[in-house]
Formats: sequence, structure tokens, C-alpha cells
Amino acid sequence: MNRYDGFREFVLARQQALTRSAYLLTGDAHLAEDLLQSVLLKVANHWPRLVRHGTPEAYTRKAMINQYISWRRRKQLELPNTDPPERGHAHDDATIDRIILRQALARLTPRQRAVIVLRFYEDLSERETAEILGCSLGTVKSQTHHALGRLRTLAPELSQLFAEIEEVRR
Amino acid sequence: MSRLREALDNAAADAPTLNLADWAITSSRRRRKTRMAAGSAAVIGLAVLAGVVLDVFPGTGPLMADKAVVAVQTGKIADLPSRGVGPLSHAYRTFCLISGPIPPDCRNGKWRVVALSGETYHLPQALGTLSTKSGPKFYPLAISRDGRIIAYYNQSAKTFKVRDLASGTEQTAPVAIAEAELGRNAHLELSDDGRYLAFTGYPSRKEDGLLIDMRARTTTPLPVGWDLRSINGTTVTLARYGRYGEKPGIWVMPLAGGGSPITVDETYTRFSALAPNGAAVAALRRGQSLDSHDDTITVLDARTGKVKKTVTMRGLPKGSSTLTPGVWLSAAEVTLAALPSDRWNEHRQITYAVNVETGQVRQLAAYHPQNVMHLVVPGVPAAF
Repeated sequence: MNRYDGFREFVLARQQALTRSAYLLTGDAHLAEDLLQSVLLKVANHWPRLVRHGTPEAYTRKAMINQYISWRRRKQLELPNTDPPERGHAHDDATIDRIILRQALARLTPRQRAVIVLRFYEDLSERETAEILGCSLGTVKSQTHHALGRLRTLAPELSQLFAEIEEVRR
Repeated sequence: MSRLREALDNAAADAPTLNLADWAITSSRRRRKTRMAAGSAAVIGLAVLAGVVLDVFPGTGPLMADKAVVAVQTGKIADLPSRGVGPLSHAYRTFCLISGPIPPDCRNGKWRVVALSGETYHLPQALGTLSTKSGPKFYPLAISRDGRIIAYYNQSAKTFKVRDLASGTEQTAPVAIAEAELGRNAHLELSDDGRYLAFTGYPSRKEDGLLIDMRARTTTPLPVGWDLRSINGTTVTLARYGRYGEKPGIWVMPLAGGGSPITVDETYTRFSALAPNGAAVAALRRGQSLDSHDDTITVLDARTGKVKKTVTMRGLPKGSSTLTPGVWLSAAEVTLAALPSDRWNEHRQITYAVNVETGQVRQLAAYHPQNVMHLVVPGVPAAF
């Protein structure tokens, strides 16, 4: 039996979703690739144990978030220096929202950004998010609140995106 | 879906397309080997011996072999087993009626495949060459980037087949393609997962190309006069090189057809596969003659044709004759096929990785086919 049995299939099935999460976390295609490479190498190294415990998915996600937070502590990952285009004929609203959202995400703290990605992109519950971040449920709730508040301040143009979330939370 | 989720989804759509499974396994194996070697002098001795004897490390299965690969098998060569074949390093046609070294167990004009582990197999089910009144006609073969899937023309089925080498499962294209419909030297490409298959007849302007979706069983015509560079899950990338009176150009075409070709500066004559970000290709610039290139590599915007960056390649052996850039290994490295000399009878082909940010070149693999014009390497589209 090969120690990597099932690893290739796991990566093939999950790598596109993982790449997207990595991209949302880092905001840069090269860094997203670096992040995913470093995480998948860890997963490959521990693969037999992860399969035995049935936890490859959870481990991968947790490793990615931890690695990202650790990188952000050491260096500035992105320099969003391009202003979004004016709203008009040439760009649709979705394009402008995307650029503004990316710029706003870049100004969150690493944990706030991770919370936004895990809760609202990966649709994880507060409890699952707390497990991945290794913190309490209360911390996730307060991080989410602060992150949404900061996004609303940084990108008032996108307030309609956050209003819906706040309403659900109330 | 909440609007925030939708906006995040939109932002995430800019993420690059990656294929890191084989890279992670290879790196993990290498790391384990290093650790084990550090702990045991005996293991070091064995590893060195194995390396010298085989010149490859069987089973490492990288996207592109990072040790020299040499077809060393001699004597009788078996037909491809029905299943259980490991990833391929390359394939080539053999010719038995010419002067010069004839490969062992030669079958004239036929394909044979070479596994990364060194085993060589005949591929009798694949049509290699047909003699016609106007001369030989060559039938193409393609290998997926990871070496695990092949596609070839089958004469009795009168169409292409796609075969998974490990499981032996085979799919037949949903449309018959008569031998005569294929050009004299058609070019075939396969997507990484084997779902999409495409052929074109460039430089011929008579034969149409076709994109085949093996899963949905549908086809999309490809334009005449364009050559294939790559297929991914959403687009097929075509190019023309300005060698036959047309303007060089790139066409990133959606799988359903459409999109618009762009014209690029006439100094660029060879193009890579589409970059992982879906927005760039690497290009080689014409050298002193039509068939040569200078020592630079350029990244072109695949949507506008504008130059994003040009760097001088460093580390390419002097006298090398570059053929074409190929697939991308990462967002910064693209493969490059080259011959070690410009001799007319050169029979070695080298694959390099070129960093498009720094220009640094590193060798990935060396191939020794009977004739470089009849060699297929995973991840390096045809250059002729």
C-alpha cells in the first residue's frame, strides 16, 4: 500500500475550492499558490495519519488558516494600491464591488479576515470557525462583529452587502 | 446565497487554477528520502547506486521528471498492458527503414511509450503513420500533463480514444473522424483530467480542428489555421505563429466556442499554454533567422497581446536551440523545450523550467527519442 493512497484524489477534488479560499485570504495569486503549496506539503507529510483519523479536510483548512495568520504576523502580504474604477458604462457593479471588497479585506487584521472567509465564504458555523481558529465561540462572535463593522467603515459603498448579514444576526 | 457570499465568490473567481497534487507528493517523498538518508549511511549508499544504475527514481511521478530520463530498455518490448501502467515520461514514433541507429524491436512508423520508471511499451492500438500516394501521413498522440492519460487515433474505431493507463479504462470519442479528415501532421492536445480532447491541422488551412468533450459527448469546431496550445476546464488556447504569411496571434476560446483572436507583435513566434491566472501566455521572440529565437522570454497579456514583461534567460546552455514554451509549473515558471544544438540530426530534446520573473532556467528532463520531430512530452505542446 502506498502511503499517499487517496491523497491525489483528495487534492483533485478540493484544490480549486482551497485555492479560492487561499486567494481570498491573501489577495494575491502568487501568494495563494505559495500558501496552498506549503499547506499541501504538510498534508502529504501527515497523510496516513490524517486518513486514519478521518480528518484530512479539517486539518487542511486549519493548516491553511494557521499558516496564513503566521505569515501575516511576519510580513505584509499585499499592497492594494489600485483605485477601483468609477461606476459607469465600462465596468459592471459586480466588478467594482469585487475590487472594493478586495481592498477592504486587505485592511482587516488576519483573524478578522479569516473569520469573514470561514463564516461567509465557506459557510462554516460559529462553532466550526472557533474550532479552526482555536478560540472561543465568544471570540468568533466579537471578531465577526468587529470585522463587519470595519468593512462597513472601509467600504461604505458595500453597506448593502453587510446589512443583510447584520439583519440575520439580529 | 447572501449578497456578501456572492461578492466573495466573485472575488474568489480571480484565483489561479492550480494542480499541486503531484508536486506535493514528490516534495513529500523527497523530504522523507532526505530524512531517511540523513539517518543511515547504508541508505545513502543504496540511493546513490540506484541513481547511477537507473538515472531515475521510479515512482516519484512528478509532473515533469526532474532527473534526466533515458529510454534504456533493450531487447524485446511488450505491448502496453491492459492496466496498471504508471505515469509516462514521453512517447515517440520509431522508424526502421532509415540509416542511423534503429531502436530495439523496431516497428516502422508506430508509437511506443516510455514510463517514468523506464519501462517501454509498444502501442499497437494507436495509428502512428500511414503511407499515402503523396507521402507519409502522421497520426498524433497526446499525453496528459501528469502522464497518466493518453489519447490516440484508433484505425478500427475511426476516431480518437482516451485511455487511463492505471485502470485501463478507455473512452471512444463520440464522433467518427475519417483518416483523411486529419491533416498530414495533426496536433492533438488533452486536458489534465482527460475530459477534453482537441486536434488541429496547423499549418494547413484546409483541415478543420475539433474540440471534443468526452464526458458530455459534444463537439465544438475549431478554426482553420490555428494551432493548439492548451485546454483547461473553461478555455482552449490557440495560437498562430506568423510563419506562413498570417499574423501571429492568440485566441483564448471558451469551450463552447466564440471569443476573439488577438494579434500580437510579429517578433513573437512561439507561445506557451495559458498561464494559471488565465490571462497571460509566455512567448519566444524571433532571433536572427525565422526558425531561431533570441535569449529572452516574454509574458504577453492574452487578452490584449501587450507585453507585460520581458526577461533574458539565464542558465540555458550555450548553443541551445529553443523550440517552444509549454505548460506552466506555477504562476512564475513555464516549461521550455529546447535542443542542445542546432545540428540537423540532433536527437536529444531537453525540457527546462524558466522563471518569467527572473529569467533563471533549470533543467527538468532530457529525452533521447529516435527523432525529436516524432517525440511527445507531457506538458510540452508540439513545436513543429
